[in-house]
Amino acid sequence: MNDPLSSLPSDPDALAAHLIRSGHLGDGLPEIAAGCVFLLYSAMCWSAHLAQHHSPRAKLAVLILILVTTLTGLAAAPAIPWLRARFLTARSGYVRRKPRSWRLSAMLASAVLIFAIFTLVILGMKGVLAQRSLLMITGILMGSLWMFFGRRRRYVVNGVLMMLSGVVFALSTFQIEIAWTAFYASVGVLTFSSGVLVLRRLIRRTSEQPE
Amino acid sequence: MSVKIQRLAEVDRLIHEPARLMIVAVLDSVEEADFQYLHLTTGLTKGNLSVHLSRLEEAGYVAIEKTFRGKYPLTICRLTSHGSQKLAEYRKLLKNAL
Repeated sequence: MNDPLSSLPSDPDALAAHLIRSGHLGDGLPEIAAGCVFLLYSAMCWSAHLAQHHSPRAKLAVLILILVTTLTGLAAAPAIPWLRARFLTARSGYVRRKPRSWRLSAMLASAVLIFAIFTLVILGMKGVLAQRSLLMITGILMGSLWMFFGRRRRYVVNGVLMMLSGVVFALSTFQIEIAWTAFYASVGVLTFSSGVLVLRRLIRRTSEQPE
Repeated sequence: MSVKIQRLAEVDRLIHEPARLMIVAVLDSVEEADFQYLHLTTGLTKGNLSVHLSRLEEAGYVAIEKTFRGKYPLTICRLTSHGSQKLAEYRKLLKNAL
């Protein structure tokens, strides 16, 4: 095992934040949850594309998908600790966190909902150039936020790949709705598979060192 | 030498030791955590972690409780109010000195 004391912040608050983040991201579940939400966004974009040409049923499907996406985003935060407590206590350990303020939960829920509506508004815009620019900006912003919140090597790599996919799909010759669908699908697959790999590594590592 | 920096000599050495600082910092950020969680987040070996936890428990900074969650045996650790106060003092001293 590497020396855990090297390259750690000396300020107790920064040290605690660093270690808690490493504990929170150490089992890959947050990435798996984010990957699921991105894949739902992708499905939402695809159904919005279909809804332009098809029946009211397709439009209803878009509304249902917005609801499902928002609910998944909302459920992800409490689901992660529940899954850890239910299936991973023996591997990733038990922790009871200090209660999260309702303001933070409300902010998270609003962010997911606003982002879903924002995506659909963009898809409804007429100017293809504006839509392509927004796709590029979304990719760059999402990649930057991903790197900022994760602050670990794999998050930096994934963040760069998110930025690249935003740029590549914005410049592609695909129809704009398909470009958005492909962008969210690629980001979803990337984060989901990264999370699964981390979880698999944790399971292997903890199976090798029994109590 | 500045008086502020000289005050660093008064630092609580039990907390100042890097491995113990990691343990105390993590426990201060959560309600309670078990041995395995501390082992994974701090990256300390189980033996090393066990020794440091014993020292912190002896000093009354950390309370340790052995229990079960379902069929899993858990060694649950939490920062006592004394430990929390000592960490706050340590944090204040460091902030003022640097």
